[in-house]
Amino acid sequence: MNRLPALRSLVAPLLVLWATGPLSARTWTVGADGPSKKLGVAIASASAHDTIRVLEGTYAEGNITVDKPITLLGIGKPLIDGGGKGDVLMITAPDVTVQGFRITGTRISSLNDFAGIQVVKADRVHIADNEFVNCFFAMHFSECRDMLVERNNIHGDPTLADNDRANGIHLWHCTRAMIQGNTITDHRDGIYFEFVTDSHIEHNTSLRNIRYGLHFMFSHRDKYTDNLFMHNGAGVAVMYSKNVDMHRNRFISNRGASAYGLLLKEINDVTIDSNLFVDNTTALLVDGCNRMEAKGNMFGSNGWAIRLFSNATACTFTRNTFTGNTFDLATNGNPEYNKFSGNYWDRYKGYDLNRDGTGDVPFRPLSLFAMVNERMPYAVVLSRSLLTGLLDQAERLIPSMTPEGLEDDKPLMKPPHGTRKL
Amino acid sequence: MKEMLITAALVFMAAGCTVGQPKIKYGADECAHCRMNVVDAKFAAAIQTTKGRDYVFDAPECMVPFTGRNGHLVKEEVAHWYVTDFAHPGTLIDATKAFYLHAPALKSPMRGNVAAFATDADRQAAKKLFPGDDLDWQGVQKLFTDE
Repeated sequence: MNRLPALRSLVAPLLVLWATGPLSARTWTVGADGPSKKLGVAIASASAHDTIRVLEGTYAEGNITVDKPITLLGIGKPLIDGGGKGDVLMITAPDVTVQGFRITGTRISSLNDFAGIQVVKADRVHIADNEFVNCFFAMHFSECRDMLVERNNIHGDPTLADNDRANGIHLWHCTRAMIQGNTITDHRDGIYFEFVTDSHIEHNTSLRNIRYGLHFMFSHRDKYTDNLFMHNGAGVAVMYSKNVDMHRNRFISNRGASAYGLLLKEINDVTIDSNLFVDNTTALLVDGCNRMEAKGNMFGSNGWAIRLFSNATACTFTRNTFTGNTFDLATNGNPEYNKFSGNYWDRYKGYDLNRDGTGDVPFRPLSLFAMVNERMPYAVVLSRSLLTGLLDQAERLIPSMTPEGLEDDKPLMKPPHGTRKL
Repeated sequence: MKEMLITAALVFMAAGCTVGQPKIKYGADECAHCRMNVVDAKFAAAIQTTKGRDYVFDAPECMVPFTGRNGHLVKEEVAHWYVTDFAHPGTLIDATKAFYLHAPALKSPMRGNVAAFATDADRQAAKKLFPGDDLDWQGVQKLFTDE
């Protein structure tokens, strides 16, 4: 009982806060028939923590700046048209919510990064359920923290020249971002993280972007899971970053001479777990990586499943499934200190006399023809010919040319449990 | 008549052998150094070797480290250095004679943030938008050489 006065002294001001906080926030309505017709005017007259309901209609007011913590709520997907004057919405205040709009009319510029929603040095911004139509950048965040970007549909203009399109969701010097459930098509990079730390990218779909579906540069301690990347010009690139986790993503049909399902360049300490790589020219390219762990991934019907450069060290591959790839592995030299163990290879012709589930003779995933082809790319015309078949068969019987270290000591007889089906 | 035909054929063959300026296929070419696809026509760079082979880069900060101590080529193998005239995206100019601006706001692909210009006047005009420092080719090489 003697604790009660102390508690009461705490509760009383809290009660006051609770009573005054929400009550003091007002709700404004903007619409063609409403008291207020202009969104910009409503924002100017609103106070912090107010909500502005925007009714169906078109709001073409040039650049609109949101400089106080308010909520903009679109009812019936109202259209905000920037009219090609620059950014459409510019957010400079924290705790702003923008939900339920259609946004279009950014200016295309080779000098400035104009965006449908431009967020500058504002924390805890929430962008949800919007549609971005033919924007240059759809969303551009610089120096922001704790933003939530969810369920937006972002579509660039596929008829524009490559140079007139920019990224869908672009983050620069941000931290603790959550990007989830968005769909991005026909931009330059779908999602671009530059100097972004401690962030998550989940359940997004990135299609037909000119360059990368997802692009990481200098971004550490990030995680991306359950995303779909398909038909992007160059696939997905994770570069110059460390501590990146990639789980349960699908990398599908990224085809071209310099297209990769997943391109890893100068990456340290990454986990690639339970992803699906199908129908890519190169599913996974590993260039200059240390301590990468690839497990439980499915590589099916790719040109090259893995291209492991000789500058990769301490990379491990376990419980992955390789089926129907033209080359399971290629390398430009002799990568050392990497480990393949317990993967399933459809090319494995060994046997399992002791019936422990793993083959009794090791498997060398690097075929002799893959090595020849790495030196002479034009030799690929001989692919699947009798000659290369004989070469590979000879090498399999008496291994002499392929690097010794690159072998799976315990190849699985059946695809591992838990790997995704095609 | 026969001699004329042969001469003409020879001339055509010789013409076929000349190496022109490298052509960059924006969106399709891969940077020889960082492997990123070259899309930004304001910053692309290129090297032509003495043997006539072209290497394409997404920006000067990738071209310079490609040569030198830890690089792929040595400087003696380079016949021509090209950078893009920032004022005229898509136009390659001689890197050794270009005027450079180093400004953080430029945001080049690999964040070396150096733009090249064919004339000093263009550079000074850009400097109003992107405040920064003037550099020459020597300065750019120094800036991007790994120690």
